[in-house]
Amino acid sequence: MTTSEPRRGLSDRRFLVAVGCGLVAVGIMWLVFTLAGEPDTAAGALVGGLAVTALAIVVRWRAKRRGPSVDGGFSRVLLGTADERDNTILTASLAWVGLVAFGAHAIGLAAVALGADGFVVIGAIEAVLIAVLVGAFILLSRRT
Amino acid sequence: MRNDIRLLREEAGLSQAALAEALGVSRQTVNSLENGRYDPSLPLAFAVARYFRTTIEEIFHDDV
Repeated sequence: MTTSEPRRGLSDRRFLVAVGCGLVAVGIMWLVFTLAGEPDTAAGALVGGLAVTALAIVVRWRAKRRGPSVDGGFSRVLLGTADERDNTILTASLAWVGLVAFGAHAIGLAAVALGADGFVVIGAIEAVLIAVLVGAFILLSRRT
Repeated sequence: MRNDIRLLREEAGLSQAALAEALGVSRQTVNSLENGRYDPSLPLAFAVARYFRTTIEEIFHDDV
């Protein structure tokens, strides 16, 4: 992509297709885990997947209502109008998510081994990773 | 890396938003470039230079 080309947003149709594909993927994951006799993991995948999908819908709705320039880079990423700096920040934020995921899953595994409910642990890990993504994006946006 | 984007933009009488629109980036990106917080990719550096009808070397300066 060249930077001199005008940025075109992700159309509503494409966004809906992406959301639909995401929901289908979440549904498949839930079904596979359920059939494999892992109801806790299935529930965690379902909750996590739906949370991310809902977050994406809310951010896009806010961005469309207010305009991408008001909401900043995160909404531009969701609207498909991200420029190279937004993509750089997103990449760095996702790297932080990956890094934190190692620790979060280790802690979660230990918690389950100590008797914690798997559903709660997986849900908590999803929440932590989403919070890290949003927090890292905001922090890096201010510093970059 | 230092750059003269702010100077060139102000000489051209442009707002950050107008320059951003012309370059196909966000206003925040132009602001970050001007403040030296973000170093552009080579395509963006070329786009900036082309827009101001000059060369990359004339706009961007190594700090070393």
